[in-house]
Amino acid sequence: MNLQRIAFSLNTLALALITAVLGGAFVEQLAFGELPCPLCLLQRAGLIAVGLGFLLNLRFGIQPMHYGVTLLGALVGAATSVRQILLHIAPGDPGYSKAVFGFHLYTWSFLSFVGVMGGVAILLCLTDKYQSGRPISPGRITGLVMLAFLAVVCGNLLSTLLECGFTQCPADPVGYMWLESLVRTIKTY
Amino acid sequence: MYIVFLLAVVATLLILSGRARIAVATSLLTIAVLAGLLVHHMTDKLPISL
Repeated sequence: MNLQRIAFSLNTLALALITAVLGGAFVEQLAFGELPCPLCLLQRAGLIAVGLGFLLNLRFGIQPMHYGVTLLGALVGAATSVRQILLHIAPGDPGYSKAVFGFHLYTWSFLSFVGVMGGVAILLCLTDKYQSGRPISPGRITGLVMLAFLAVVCGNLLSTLLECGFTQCPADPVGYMWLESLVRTIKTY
Repeated sequence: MYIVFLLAVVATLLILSGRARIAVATSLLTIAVLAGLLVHHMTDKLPISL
């Protein structure tokens, strides 16, 4: 197995992990009724931006520019996580939402973005400059991961529209604003 | 907020449909909008309600 094939498999794994994390966030949102705050939504968008870089590699071949997209996404995502960590850093602040294994989700999010930056640095070392840019035909698993990623991105768009509509999201959301307004409009008629 | 996810959907569809250059451009635009929304969240100064 050459370096290019290993890098391709690792890109597939990274996209699968991102899809799983975004899917997990959806499960938490739908099963436990925990609506994402504006900064949580921005962190999800950061993860999606990271995923776009990996998706570009899987579709068009591994190129340093695609890793650049991933790194930029991770950088903005990490900045968003740090912003939320700093908002809740004061002593006595319970933080937003519940903690998982001792850390809040935004702290995990920050660690993930830093992990992505480290991972991409390693993947860049595996990039063969003579073979980079040659697309590798995706197998069935890679194709499924790509479609799952598309589904998760579309789901996030739909969920955000239902939660916030076309305006700014409320700082502490309590319901699906657009959905409730749609139901009220239907009831009026 | 929907605008960043809308751009992400467009970028994903462009990547999957095989349009490399415009897909990269849309991906970068998605990240730029994301950064703009973060700045807006921190400062509340940008004239947007996205």
